[in-house]
Amino acid sequence: MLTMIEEFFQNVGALDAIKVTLLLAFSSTSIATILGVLFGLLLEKYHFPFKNLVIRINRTLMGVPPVVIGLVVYLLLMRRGPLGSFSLLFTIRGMIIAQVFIITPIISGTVYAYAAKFAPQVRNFAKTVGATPLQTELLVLKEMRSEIYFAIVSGFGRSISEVGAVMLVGGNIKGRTRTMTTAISLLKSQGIYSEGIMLGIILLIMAFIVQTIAEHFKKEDIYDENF
Amino acid sequence: MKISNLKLEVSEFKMDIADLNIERGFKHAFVGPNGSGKSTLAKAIMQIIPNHSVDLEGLSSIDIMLAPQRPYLLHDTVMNNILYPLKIRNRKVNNDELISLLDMFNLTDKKNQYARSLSSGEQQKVSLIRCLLCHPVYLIIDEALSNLDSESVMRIEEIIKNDKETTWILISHQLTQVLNICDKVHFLDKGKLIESGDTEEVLLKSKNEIIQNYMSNQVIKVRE
Amino acid sequence: MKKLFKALAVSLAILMVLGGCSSNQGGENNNTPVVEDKGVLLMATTTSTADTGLLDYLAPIFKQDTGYTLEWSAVGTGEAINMGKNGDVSVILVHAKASEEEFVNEGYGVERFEVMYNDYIVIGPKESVAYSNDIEATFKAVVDNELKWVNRGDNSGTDKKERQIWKALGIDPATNPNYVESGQGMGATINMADEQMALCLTDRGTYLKVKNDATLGIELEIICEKDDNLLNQYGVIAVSPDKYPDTDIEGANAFIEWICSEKIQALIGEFGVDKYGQPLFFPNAKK
Repeated sequence: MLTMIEEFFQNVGALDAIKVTLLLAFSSTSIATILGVLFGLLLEKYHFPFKNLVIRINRTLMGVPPVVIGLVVYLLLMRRGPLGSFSLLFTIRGMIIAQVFIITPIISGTVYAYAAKFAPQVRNFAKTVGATPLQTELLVLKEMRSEIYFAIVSGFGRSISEVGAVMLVGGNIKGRTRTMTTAISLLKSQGIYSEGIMLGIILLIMAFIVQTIAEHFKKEDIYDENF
Repeated sequence: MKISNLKLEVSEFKMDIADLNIERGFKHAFVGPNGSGKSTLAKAIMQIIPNHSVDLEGLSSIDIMLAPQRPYLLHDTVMNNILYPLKIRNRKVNNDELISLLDMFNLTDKKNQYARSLSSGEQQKVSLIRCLLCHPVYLIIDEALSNLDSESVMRIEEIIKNDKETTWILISHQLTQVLNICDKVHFLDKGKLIESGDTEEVLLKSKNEIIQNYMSNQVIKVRE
Repeated sequence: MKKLFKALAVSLAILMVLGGCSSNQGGENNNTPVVEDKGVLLMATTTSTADTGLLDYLAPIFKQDTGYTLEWSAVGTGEAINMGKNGDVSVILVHAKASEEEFVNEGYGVERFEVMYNDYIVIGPKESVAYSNDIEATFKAVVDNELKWVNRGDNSGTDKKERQIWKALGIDPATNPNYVESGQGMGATINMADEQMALCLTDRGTYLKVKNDATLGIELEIICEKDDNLLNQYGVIAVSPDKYPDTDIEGANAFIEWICSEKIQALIGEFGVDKYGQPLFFPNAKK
């Protein structure tokens, strides 16, 4: 079965590309989750000068084209760049770094938006029942869990679908840094459309599953409207 | 509980209370027209007014609880909502009491339901039960009976009357309820404390025009 | 680094211009064309003709001479031929003789005309392999010493050429643990090789262009060149109107006649000399 798939996709290394895509998505989403959730919640909780500017920059970064991030990370990681000595260019680690820059703002921005809306009432509630500050923050985290899952799933979806940064930083090296999206890009450049479409369908199915999971987390909220 | 020199300003609304004494062992009521600051005072006592803190002379926030008109329910089951305040206090629930309260408010069948799917009256009940189980030193009931059926209201009134442990503070427009239950009334208007004292002294015998006006309006309403 | 600052300054300037006034619309038609405007001619071609800037140089002259506006899609040879097969373009300019002849034989193309050639070279870090004019010796040395090698792996003309050479040697390059497939165009592949200090096969034109234009320059040098086996013939073919009546056969024929003309052949032979000190393409259209 696997060899059949591999043969069907000719020489682009489709199976490796799927593996790389998943490894990349899980790693970068995990790191971005820790950074993004923390940053999003801190941003909501604390007031400081230029906070609105920080929020606006975060929102801008949520929509920044990945290829721009890719270029910046490329310049950082290249042999003659400031981090060149670590030899991270054209490696999965380098791609993870680039994707963390792309996904963290998505997660922190989403978490911040929900926290700004919901955290104050959770904190007020916690005070009316006598919770300590630590218990209060844990409760905020727990009460926002479905929104946080949603943010994480959005980040994951962005990771598997992203092509610009992984192409630049990863270099689309067969069997090492080639992802499903860059494999599709390569298949297209060779004029091999049917295989590109097949790989695209697999990616679509993955995105669909991710979206279904996201929907599942959102479903609880239907009850939340009290009329 | 003694509050002195409470000064607040929350979006246009100003509150200035020089001296308020909520004695332990009595049942209190905050009374006053809409916008007089009753709920704001309750929030101030709970320390949930942004950028303000009120000095409660040794009382810690764990001693005071508030059941608001529109309670916040956790994204969880009825049971976990009820047990949350005990859990954070590291206290075990009194099972007999829990069973009887659930039974009293017809929530026994719904204890494993998602709390936010309950009706607003039932949500108020959940909020009340979780406060009652904690037996706090002070418990503020801020219009928290407004959506309850009359039978449930009667039952909770019984509980309040017979309770000797908690110092209750009722915020209510139901004057018969206040007259029936409360020993002390603190009358508020436009963010100021107009009069404090025994219930009947303040509500029925006051010489203050504002209170007299308020009372006559309420009586007319009752008659209508 | 200087170039990088320059680039930053330029992008800032662009932002300022965009933000400020954009009132410079119209009114700049000093070069009214002598011939009538005949619309757009679509062409599919390989990345090398576009990446080297040859088409940017030729297109305005084509417009002046014939009235056609040349627009092109620069892709790998495989895809360029595919675009012709799908009737998406009217003419193709590529370099893969066997595929081109097949394209004509299957009836998609009218006739193949040779236009020019350029040559392939092997580039790599200085003295990684001794300089030579023998491509097979160079390729062997790479495998024997397990040197880093970047292959395009995109089925392009260059990729095909490289595989041909490996095949002729009877070597599977993938046995070299330091052999990678970039799956990208020539420019990106040269950059990757330079980053990794690896060797790669490239056409001379793209190498010279990248070396000259890259913000931070390219350190790789020519390791092997001027083997007869490294010549790279470009052909131009009009898409057959029998298959696709919509294609602009007149425009395609005009382009073929024009690019094979003495005047344009001479221009192709001069192109790049001023900038790189050597021509990028060698015209050889039959008269």
